[in-house]
Amino acid sequence: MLWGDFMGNYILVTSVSKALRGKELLDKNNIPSSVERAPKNNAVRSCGYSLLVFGDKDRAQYILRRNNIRIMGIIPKKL
Amino acid sequence: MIYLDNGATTFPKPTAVKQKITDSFNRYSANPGRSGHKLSLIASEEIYECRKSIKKLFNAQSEDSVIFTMNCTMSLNTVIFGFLREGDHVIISSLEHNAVVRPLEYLKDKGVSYSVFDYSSDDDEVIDNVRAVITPRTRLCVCTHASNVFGFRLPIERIAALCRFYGIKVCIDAAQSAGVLPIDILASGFDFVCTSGHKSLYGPMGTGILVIGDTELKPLLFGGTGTDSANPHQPEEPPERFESGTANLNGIAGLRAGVDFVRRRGTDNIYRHELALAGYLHSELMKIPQIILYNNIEYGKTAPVLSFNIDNVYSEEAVRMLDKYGVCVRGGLHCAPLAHRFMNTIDSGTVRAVPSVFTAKSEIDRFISVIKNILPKLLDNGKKV
Repeated sequence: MLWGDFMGNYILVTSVSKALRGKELLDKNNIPSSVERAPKNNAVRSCGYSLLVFGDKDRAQYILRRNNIRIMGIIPKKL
Repeated sequence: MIYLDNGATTFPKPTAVKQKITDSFNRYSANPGRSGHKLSLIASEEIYECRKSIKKLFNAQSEDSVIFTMNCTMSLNTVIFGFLREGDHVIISSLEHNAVVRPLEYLKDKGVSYSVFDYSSDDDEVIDNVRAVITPRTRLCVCTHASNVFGFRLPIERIAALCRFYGIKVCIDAAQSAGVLPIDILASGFDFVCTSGHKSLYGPMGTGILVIGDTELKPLLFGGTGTDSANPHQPEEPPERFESGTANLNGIAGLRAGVDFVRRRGTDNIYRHELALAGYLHSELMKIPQIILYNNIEYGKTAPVLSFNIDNVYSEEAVRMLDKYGVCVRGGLHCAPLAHRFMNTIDSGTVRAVPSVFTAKSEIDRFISVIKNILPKLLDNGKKV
């Protein structure tokens, strides 16, 4: 796990229902996360949702993708 | 009052349903999936939890495959209008509701045709009847799980297997069966399951469910989904693709409590209770010579729905008289003229009595006693068919 992963990463998803399902999947895999409004970005231009993930973002992405949750982008959380 | 109109909507609802609706109004009645604040997120979580409960009840593919609609009619319309295109042929059973027949009649002008296969109490015969109406252009089979008028149960698992063999998609109308008869979407390979939330799932009116598989479907409604708003195109992924506009949060919260109530009680336990009452009513009505019965009540073969007539008295006249004595049942055609034509009751309609999980045997006894009471008056004064 990289230092940045401790700070948290926003994994952008397509909807709030995908975010809620994703959070549940990450919980089951012991990856802490929370459902957040997506920060300003180019991938989802408005009204986006994300998972703020604290931990291994690559593993988190793998789990989400494996469960048909499309990832629109990743944004590191700024301090 | 004796309420036996549970085929139209169940009444009363479980206390948990009423509490949940009130609780949602009092605590988190924000717009789900829209504003992004905490309350909105709690509202979204409530809807997601309801998707989870429905997924478990029907063994659906995923939470995302559970779509909320206003009612079963809207769910069926979403499938019929979203899947069919010019030149397609559809097969339906002889027991279908107007929610199926009317959209298909409308689509006749758009180059969609349909054929009807007859119900039979012999499952093998039903399968033969289905096979006989399949054409090379048949793309969809819409079939009720159980008749909303006569309770007849169709062998939907076998019908789905046959249709799969011919590459035909299968849409099940489970309005009268969800919560009473088992539905296993993954095991049965249904492509679409449509049902209402306010009948045997004990949710409030204004809630409907559509469960979809992998089949591509156009949405019925287009508009705001609370996601990717700068994009002028409708989202591609379910459930948002099919849920434009603000969701019925409070209704869905109540529906979740209803579905959980059914799961706690157990579908089979509910079925056995209701079927025992329907069977008892059937056996008592059989003792009255002027009563005409149309269906047997048999475990596994019928839903707990009983249709009858009193001699040749018009069914709605009988229902009016029963209402005066505090009995709520439904007469007429039950929005299913196809089923009535099939059973030769199109002129009279039938009186339909459907118990719920809350119906007691004493209510059935009172119902029978009211029928015996009004019988002479009805036979003397009732409008005849």
